[in-house]
Amino acid sequence: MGSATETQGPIQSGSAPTCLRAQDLTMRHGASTTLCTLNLEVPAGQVLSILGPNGAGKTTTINLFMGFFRPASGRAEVCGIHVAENPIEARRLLAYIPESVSLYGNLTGLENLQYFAELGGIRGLTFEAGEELLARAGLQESAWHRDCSTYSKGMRQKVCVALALAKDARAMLLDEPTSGLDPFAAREFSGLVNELASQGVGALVATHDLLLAREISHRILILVGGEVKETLPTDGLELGELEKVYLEALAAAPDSERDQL
Amino acid sequence: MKAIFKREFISLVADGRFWIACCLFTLLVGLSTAISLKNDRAMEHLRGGAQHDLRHEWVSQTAKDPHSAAHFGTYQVKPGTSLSWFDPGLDPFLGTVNFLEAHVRSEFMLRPARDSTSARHLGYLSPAFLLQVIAPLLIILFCFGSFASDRESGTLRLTLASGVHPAALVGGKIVGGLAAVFALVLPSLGVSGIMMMRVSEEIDLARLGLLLLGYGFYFAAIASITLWVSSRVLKSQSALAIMISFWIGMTFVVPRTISDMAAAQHPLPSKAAFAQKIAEETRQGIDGHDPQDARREELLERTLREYGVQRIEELPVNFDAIALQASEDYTSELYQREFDRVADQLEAQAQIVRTTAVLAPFLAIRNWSMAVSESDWAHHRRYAQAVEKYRQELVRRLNTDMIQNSRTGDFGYVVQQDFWESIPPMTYEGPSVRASIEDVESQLGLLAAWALLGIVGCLRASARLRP
Amino acid sequence: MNVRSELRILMRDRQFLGIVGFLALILAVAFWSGHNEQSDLRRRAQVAQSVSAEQVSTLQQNLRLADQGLGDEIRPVPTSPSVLAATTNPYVLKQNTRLALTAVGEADVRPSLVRLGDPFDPTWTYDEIVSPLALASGRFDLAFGVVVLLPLLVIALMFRLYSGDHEAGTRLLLESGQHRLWKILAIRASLKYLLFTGSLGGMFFLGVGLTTGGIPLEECLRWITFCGTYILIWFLICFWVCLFRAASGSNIAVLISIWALLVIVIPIGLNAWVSNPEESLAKLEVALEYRGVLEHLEATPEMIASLEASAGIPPGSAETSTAAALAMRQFAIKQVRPQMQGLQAQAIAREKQLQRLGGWNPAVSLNALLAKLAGRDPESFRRFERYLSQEHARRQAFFLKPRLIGARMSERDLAEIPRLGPQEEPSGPAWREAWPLGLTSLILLGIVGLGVRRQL
Repeated sequence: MGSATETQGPIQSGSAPTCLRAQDLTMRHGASTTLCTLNLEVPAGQVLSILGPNGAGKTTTINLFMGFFRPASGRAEVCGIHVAENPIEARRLLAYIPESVSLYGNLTGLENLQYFAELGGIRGLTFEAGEELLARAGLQESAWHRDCSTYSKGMRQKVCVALALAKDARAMLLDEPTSGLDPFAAREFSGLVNELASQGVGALVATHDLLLAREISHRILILVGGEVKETLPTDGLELGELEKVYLEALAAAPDSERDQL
Repeated sequence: MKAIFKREFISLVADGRFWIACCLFTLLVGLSTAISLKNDRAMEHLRGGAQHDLRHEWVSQTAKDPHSAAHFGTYQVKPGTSLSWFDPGLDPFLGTVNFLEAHVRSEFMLRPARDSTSARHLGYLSPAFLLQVIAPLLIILFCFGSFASDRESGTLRLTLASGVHPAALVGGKIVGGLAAVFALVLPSLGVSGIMMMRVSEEIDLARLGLLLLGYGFYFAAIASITLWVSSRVLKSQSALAIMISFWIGMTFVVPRTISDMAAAQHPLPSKAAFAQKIAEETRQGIDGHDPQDARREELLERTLREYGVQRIEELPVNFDAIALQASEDYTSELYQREFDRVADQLEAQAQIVRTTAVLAPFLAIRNWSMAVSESDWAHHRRYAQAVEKYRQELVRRLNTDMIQNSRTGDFGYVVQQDFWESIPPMTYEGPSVRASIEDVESQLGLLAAWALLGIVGCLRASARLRP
Repeated sequence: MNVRSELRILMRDRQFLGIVGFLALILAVAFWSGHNEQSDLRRRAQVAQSVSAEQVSTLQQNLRLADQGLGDEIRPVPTSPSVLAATTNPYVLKQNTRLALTAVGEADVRPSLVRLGDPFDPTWTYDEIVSPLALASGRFDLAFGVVVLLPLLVIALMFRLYSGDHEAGTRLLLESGQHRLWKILAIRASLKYLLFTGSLGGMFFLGVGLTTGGIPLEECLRWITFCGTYILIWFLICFWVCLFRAASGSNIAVLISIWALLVIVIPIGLNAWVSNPEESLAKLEVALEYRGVLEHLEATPEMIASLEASAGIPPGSAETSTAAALAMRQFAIKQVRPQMQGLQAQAIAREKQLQRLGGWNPAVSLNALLAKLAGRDPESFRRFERYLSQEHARRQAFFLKPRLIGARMSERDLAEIPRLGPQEEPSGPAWREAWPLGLTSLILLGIVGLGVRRQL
């Protein structure tokens, strides 16, 4: 599949439409604030990584974009659609790849794809079209008609990518996409994401993998304790430099948050 | 929604356990139908035989005076109903036979429950029992994971992320779940129905329709409540634990405790007190105002006046028989009042049970099913009243013959066999469908309300459905 | 081994404490229900005694008046033997064991308080006024609580035995320790069993002590042993199902299905199989035959002579019509006796068949044992019925002579009417009657042992 280097460089398209936007997005769980006035913007064709330790608010951000939670204040937008007000519309434009993709084990990859595509409002996805999507997502042909219970994590993710392709998603949300993948699979997956981005999809990746963040994204946002500590472009950013900035941001955080590392 | 319905339905039905459960349940219902129908046919045969024997006993009794015949008395066997095989209801606990004689209104005797074993404490095997108790358990076992398992495995997250409307998701799950539930239960109903058609000459479609309606609501209620709970809890095992507790509560705990409480609230008199009261009032007159002797004196005066004669010997009729009939009327009224008092207490108990059906849909379906199958308390009471009416007419007829055809003090008067034959046997027409369900219409309403509650609960939960 | 630390974990387990709380609730409701039933029975017995005493004292006054020759012309004082017999018919309360409130047994369909009937009517029956609604629902007695509900608590205690650790991720930690996992799980299950049964025993003693005002130790120990064995059986079933099965949800589903089958479906299926609803009408046929004999046959001089002989009066000294009627009744009852005995034999055979078919089912056999411990099993009711007919016969023998010769009874005769003889107290089941329960638990223990070995 597409090599990573091809799409490595950031796409300079200042006029590209905004796919994902957070405006003063705040989330509270009981008395504690899990996300504090987050502002971010992901234009089409760009990948933004949110880097942070466990409990930093990465998944919360994604859940807010998915409309699974209602924010305490502020707003999340997907291609201009206010998520909290119209979550269904927003979800139709979104592709979502959770940390661990769960498919129906008693259905084949193709059947899962057809099922979830139909839920997303895509009617009549033919066998051939489904197979083509799976092929584009890089799932080996031998697996298409096998029950998903036999799939590895990487294979299930590829079904999810195929779903994103089927939906013709405008934006992608990825939650720890490469955790638990072997380096080869992780690299293959990064390539897939970059390919999607090159086709004009805006992607938000939540991760604590520095290497992935640097490789996959155009910009990196460091989130600790629900607050944005730093925003860095990856253009010309060295891994060592990123690590230093990240550790400094963590060191500034209260002990209780560092413990969660 | 169609895709969800299809997936939900297929995932339930494709499960091997579903088919095992379906086959076992169908087998159980089939077996219980076979046993119930066989017993029902045998009972019908025996009842027919007994009725024939009773009639024969009555018409072939020796020549005697009519009042002695009233003491000789006769038995009445409670007729079966067309659906008692399906739901015996209270029948095993109510007597099947009643003795009719002069002066005394007796209770029903020979309760079939006595001829069973101690295992009856858990319930009577009948198709109705299986549908009321076992079917909900199966429904719960198959539906508890509907949302909760998807949530546990993470597929719910992906499903919601796909952009499907939560209401469509829930709707699809409800319809799919209900379709699977009916797929589970319908074969057994089919088997039962076919067996019934093979043995019954006439089929009461109205009653069958009402039964189906009630059970349809009941299963829909259980299924939708299970889905509701499943959509609200995080783990499938919590959904199962909650629903199993609900099932145990509604089928075992609530009915038993509530009938205990109802009996304590509206206690029945002890037999000793009841008998004493009847004896006392017969002797003393009601409330002691109208002693037996005074009553007789007054009756004599009235009769003499009526016939315009001075002395008892001049009467053209048998005054002893008149006095007997007067005493009969008097005790009948007395019995009526005392029996009504007991029946009212029982009715009050039944009312408590009907009200409690708000808490337990099992009680609602039990009440509904019994009433439609004519095996409930209201039906028994209606029949008991018909029997009492027949007893009173029988005794009046015998006494009237004695009044008109003999004279006072004429103890040698006897009638022959043709007279016994002239007295028709009792005929009893069961209540109309409308009358049968008069008391329990609310129960159907409650079942519908439970079903509605479950469905509305599910749909409302959809607004807050979290992965 | 690490029993102490396991115990500490268990005592902090909120779920375990909650289940013990539920156990307490079930026992409280069951004792409340049993207590209600017993006090209702006592109330009925008291009413009956006072009604009876009042009737006898009125009769006594009347007899005194009659003895003094102060009879009333319109309403003559009753002095005939039959009136005396009818008025003095005593109420008899069935004797149960001291654990009567723990199981209702047959007492819901058979009267425990009975008035002896007319001594000259051999067909008398007596029934209490009961609520068919309550009968149909069944009682929440302790036997029900133990047989039906306790296994559910055991299931609730056990279904996460292995899967709980698996789901929480602690299984691997446990396995990496020095003890084998199955041993740890066995210790946990045993501790739960001991604590659960211990709580049941303690609560049972407390309940019995509070409701009956004394503890019959021997019976209580038997009760706890039987129930303890039953609970052990359920622990073993749960252990077998849950050991090495990783999904809690499917554990509950499997266990609940086993429970429904063993406790509900099989017992009621057996009941339907063994019961014979036709018997109720067979009794009617017997009654009809008896009436037929009375109606259509005439007493022969031989019958009357034999009656006179049994009453110890010279031949020909009895009032003819009375003697003929009584002799006919005696004759008629002899005619139908084989059928009556047949019906009784059928009832006994039914119980035997249930035991044969259902003895292996712990729910069926414990149910029977508990009814027996309460002294309210079918056999104890048959014994009670035998006692009643003996008393009936004694009274008949006493009144036969005066009835035959048409004697006028006086106040003095009242004192000579035979008092009720002593009732045999039901003994409850012997230890050895619980062998099916014991055997089932041993077999299950073996199966579990084999299962563990195979898994290893």
